[in-house]
Amino acid sequence: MNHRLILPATTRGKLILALFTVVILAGLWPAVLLANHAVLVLGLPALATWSCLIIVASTAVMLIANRLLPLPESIRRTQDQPETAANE
Amino acid sequence: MSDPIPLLMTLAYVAIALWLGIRARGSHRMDSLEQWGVAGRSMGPLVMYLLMGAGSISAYTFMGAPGWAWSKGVPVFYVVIYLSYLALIAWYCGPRVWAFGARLGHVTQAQAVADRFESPLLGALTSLVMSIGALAYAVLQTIGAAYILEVMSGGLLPFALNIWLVLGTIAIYLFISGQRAIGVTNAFQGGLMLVVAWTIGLWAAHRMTGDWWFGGVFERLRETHVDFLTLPGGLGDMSFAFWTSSIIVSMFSFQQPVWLQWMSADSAQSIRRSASWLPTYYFVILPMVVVGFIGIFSLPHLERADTVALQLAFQQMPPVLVGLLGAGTLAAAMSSSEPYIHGTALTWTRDVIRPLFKLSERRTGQLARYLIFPIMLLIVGPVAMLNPGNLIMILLVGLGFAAQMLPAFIGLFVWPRATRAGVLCGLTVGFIVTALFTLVWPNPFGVHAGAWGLIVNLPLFVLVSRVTRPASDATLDRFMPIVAPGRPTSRATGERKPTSSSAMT
Repeated sequence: MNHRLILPATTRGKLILALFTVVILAGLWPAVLLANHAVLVLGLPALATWSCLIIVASTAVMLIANRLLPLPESIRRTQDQPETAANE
Repeated sequence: MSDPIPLLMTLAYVAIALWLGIRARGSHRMDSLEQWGVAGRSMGPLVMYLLMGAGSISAYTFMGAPGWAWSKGVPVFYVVIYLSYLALIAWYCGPRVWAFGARLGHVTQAQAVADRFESPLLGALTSLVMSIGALAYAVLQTIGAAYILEVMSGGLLPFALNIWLVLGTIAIYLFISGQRAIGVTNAFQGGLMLVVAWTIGLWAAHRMTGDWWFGGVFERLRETHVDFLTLPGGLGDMSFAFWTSSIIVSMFSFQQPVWLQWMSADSAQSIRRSASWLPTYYFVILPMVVVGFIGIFSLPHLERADTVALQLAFQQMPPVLVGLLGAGTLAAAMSSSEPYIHGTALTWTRDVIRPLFKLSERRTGQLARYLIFPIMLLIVGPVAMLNPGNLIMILLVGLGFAAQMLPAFIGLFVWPRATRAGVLCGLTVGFIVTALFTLVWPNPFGVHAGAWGLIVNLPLFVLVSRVTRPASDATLDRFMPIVAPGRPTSRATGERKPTSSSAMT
């Protein structure tokens, strides 16, 4: 059995993982320092606008991922091939 | 009570939720885990979007978030960020969890853990550990709901009575329709909350500044309370360390109801679609936060910060808007309380009672429905009536504990080498560290106690997993086609499991 960590094997998978990581890091220290200023952007505090941008970015990367990485058949069609769990 | 409209609107909401919840059953029999537990895996993307959105938006959005804005300022936005990240987790894990259900017959998350690690003990522990925070959360939301009814009735409906009114309503539709009721009522509650939050927020901003946007509120805030616009906030207690560790701990706490939501989808694709758009739902928090900021000027001397939105409504808004806010807040509280009660009943029956007493699948399904009554009568109701001051503490400990289950989920989704012994060792030590750093030495160096638990838990989990025996190939062979389709099953030969797709995400 292959026990190695499960990581993306394709270039598209790696790209999506990188995008997800960037979006997550954007909400954490130290990236959040970029927005930690008492200025208003679009009428909102910079940190609030930053949070709204993270909402948009999260949605955007998932929509991109949906295009680049369609769900594998083995997940989409699992309902057709039920097994019995070992602990049943 | 000067005007009956707010109370009538709030009670009308309760009646509608009850009606929808009861009707949600349709012609389905509810004595199986598949139906009562996960709605026969029948929910489409739109219902899933509202279900996941409303389930994660609690009374906190209508009471706590404005309260945080009123007392601390922008630190409140950490909630928006971690909720968006939960959607990323849902996008990746949700379809796989759904496939566990469809292919392996799982319903609860503890069932998946028990199966993956070949350990009913670990499954039962998962169930019990996750239910500590879940029950504390259900109690908190019930208290919030009872408080709303008390305020809306001007004290006419006493707090204790309201607790049983709320729990009684939930019990009726939960018993009759199970997860179908949660789906339908949460979809209704989710839509209602969106309308209420934006109506209240924009109306309050317009009344204060004359504009239909929030810029004027924040311009005034910048002149008078500039420290509210940056971290660490008005109270100076949201350091960067606490901000970051709170987001990390919150986004990795796989709550039982969230798992059941994923299981309830009609397809893996529906989860992806709804998760992709889910972050947009969290814009609902913005207008309510603005109401809290407006309260800084209108209500500078509040005793309890989390009453700011309600107080502002009663002082400045027409009765219809007050009623809308009451209904919206009650919807937020009930939509969060009911899935946690349902999830706890389900997992206790499936993962603790069933293995202990060797119950059949059918008997387990019947028992789960009835277990909501003792949970409400003996735990949620009495604890809510006591209204303990340290309940937030219990909740924080519970969530910190829940985060300590992360190694089990790492083992499920990304690391086949993870072992039962590794998870158990990490969980035990992480549990102790989280308890110590919550109760004895709260959040050392400004880092969330649950994060400290994980700092010790994760290396121990990896270390012990490396030196103990992994799950059998037969077990991993059942999980790998779901979590890693197309991945070579043998490291040495590169042999591949025959799957219909080689795309590996």
